[in-house]
Amino acid sequence: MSEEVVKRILLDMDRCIECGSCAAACYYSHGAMPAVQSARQGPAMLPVICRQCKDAPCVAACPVEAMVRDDAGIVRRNLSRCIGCGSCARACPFGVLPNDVTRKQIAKCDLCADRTASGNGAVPRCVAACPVGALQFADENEVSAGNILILGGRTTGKDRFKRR
Amino acid sequence: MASNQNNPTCCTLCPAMCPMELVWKAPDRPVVEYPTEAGAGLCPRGSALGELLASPYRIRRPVDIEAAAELMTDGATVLIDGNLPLEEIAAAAGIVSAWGGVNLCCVVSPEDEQLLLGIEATGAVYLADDDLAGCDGFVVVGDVFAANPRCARNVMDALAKHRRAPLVVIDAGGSVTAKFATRRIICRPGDETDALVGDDVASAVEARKRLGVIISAEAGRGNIWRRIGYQAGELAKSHGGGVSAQTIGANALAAVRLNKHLGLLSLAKALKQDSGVLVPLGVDILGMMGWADMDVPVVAAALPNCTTESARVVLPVALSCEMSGTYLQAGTQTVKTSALLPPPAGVPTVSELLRALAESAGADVPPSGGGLPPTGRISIPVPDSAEVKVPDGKVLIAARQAARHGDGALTAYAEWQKQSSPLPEIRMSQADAADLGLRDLAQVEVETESYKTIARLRIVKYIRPGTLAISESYPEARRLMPYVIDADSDAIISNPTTVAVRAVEPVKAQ
Ligand code: SF4
Ligand code: SF4
Repeated sequence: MSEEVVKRILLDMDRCIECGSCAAACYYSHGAMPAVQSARQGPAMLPVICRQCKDAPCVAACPVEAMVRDDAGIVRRNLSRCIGCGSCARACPFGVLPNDVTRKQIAKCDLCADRTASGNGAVPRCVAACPVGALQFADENEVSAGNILILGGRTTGKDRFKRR
Repeated sequence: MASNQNNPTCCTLCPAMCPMELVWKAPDRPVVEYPTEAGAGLCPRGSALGELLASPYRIRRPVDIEAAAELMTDGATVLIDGNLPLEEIAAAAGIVSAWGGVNLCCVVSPEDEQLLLGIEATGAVYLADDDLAGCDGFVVVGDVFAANPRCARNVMDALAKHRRAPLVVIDAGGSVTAKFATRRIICRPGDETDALVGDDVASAVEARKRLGVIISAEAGRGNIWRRIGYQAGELAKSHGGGVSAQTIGANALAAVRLNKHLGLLSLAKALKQDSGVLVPLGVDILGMMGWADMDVPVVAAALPNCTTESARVVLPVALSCEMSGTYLQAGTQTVKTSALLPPPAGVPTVSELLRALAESAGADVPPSGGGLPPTGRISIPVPDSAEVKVPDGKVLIAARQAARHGDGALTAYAEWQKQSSPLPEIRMSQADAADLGLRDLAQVEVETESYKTIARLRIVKYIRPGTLAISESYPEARRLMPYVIDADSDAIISNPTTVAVRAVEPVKAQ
């Protein structure tokens, strides 16, 4: 199996203004199967996005090998194989996989590989659309070196506003 | 001094004017493509534009000019969207003056209009979004981060630069912006005016040398906005800063100034006129005002809306982002933009439609001149103080939101918006929710003396018990608190309204 990805989508909870720009960008660029979900976090409704786990439970749970880690290390869903059984959605500990009730298929973040594969500093669309810079496409080791703590794929700590 | 900028294509739904580009996914499917680098930003309203331009709901019916002109023979008052390029507004004004017997009004959201008139009365500097990053403190009224998500980045960057910079948020509506405040003034609706000149604000901004005062004018606060604009301008001037008005549409200030410079009608006068018919071209006047009944026989619209439902003649018209032209930013800068796409075949722009109507009525209309109309500051008297009557019990006010635009007529057709927020959100405090036996995210029935509708409840922290705030970008929400024309001030206002909220499904004990 390939190595995990180096760069992930990280959320700075102290900057997110809950505008939904990330979710809308994902919806409009992924054939109306958005992979950005939202979840209640205290007083806020924040986006939740695939963490690209090292030992991805969704990949292990998929009975038809539709959920795979590709050569670039991205955990992806092969739509033509997906039977919509929802095993991956139940296996994901972060609840980032929605089960599309109409299509009976799973929407899955592919890190906008069509843009980011080139490596030219291109970022996924949700990161580009975020108007406040709350989303970063970054190597979590570099982000940690900047004295920011990462918890389960989210940045926290050094919180100017001490809100959440 | 005016300076000019060129923005090849951008969203003009708010003053941020975010650059954006369309690509073709299929021959009939333009979609927004986001810049490959981080930091550009495009909110859900901008993201939806690609889909809306090619919406299957677009009105493309034959342009029946004769039938429309026939209904206008006894005179007419034409309403056009204030968020058109300057050239388009100037052309419309030229056509109407050659026509004779027809009046023109450039429509701006009533709260924005009052706010901008108040700021004009002070002579304060207007700040562009990028100027906000250079401020050393902020006073905010309303949900400015929802009104213009891009301005949040500049505010946050400024706060990061000046570690002691205050962000004072005055808010009655449980806003997202209030969560980020260093000092929060959660007031009753209408009390924003007192708060803005109160001791709390004065002490928080005492040492500031470049203060940014940012306002988002929301409905349900009576007639406060002109006074707020004036107070905001004076406060900014006294701290070496400026004002940023987060209006609906990028050209609201230009429209307010042009209404005066070109001698156009105010919206209040236009609605009170009884000479001839009212002809909205690209304005959902019934949806915006929250009115159910008004005789509007001729209307032009890009997409079906509350006004087209009852009109006898419905004409197609281009969206503002389908026209190239100039926008006024920060009071002095002109920004030229190109159309995102040309209008669909056979769909006229507002000025093309107006010209055809005038010529059909026999008017001799000269070709439109190329120059820009005057957009300099207008002279406005200092507004009186404002007092708002807040009824007893639970009251309803309106709130801005990031996902939908203005009165909601445009974004009502955007698929992501329909799926992610099919119902308006009504915010209330935990105490009110407990009092009413309601849980977070429940579907509720909201009733005022004007209307009844369904909404989604959201319990928020920063709202006073007794105040409930509903997203303003839904026609049904506007009908809960319809606008009235204030006979004294000639302003269009919406007051806080007594409201009842109840569950529409039995709530299980938690
Ligand atoms: S676009 Fe950015 S600020 Fe808006 S909801 Fe997403 S992460 Fe939060
Ligand atoms: S409406 Fe959104 S995308 Fe359009 S200019 Fe404003 S912030 Fe940018």
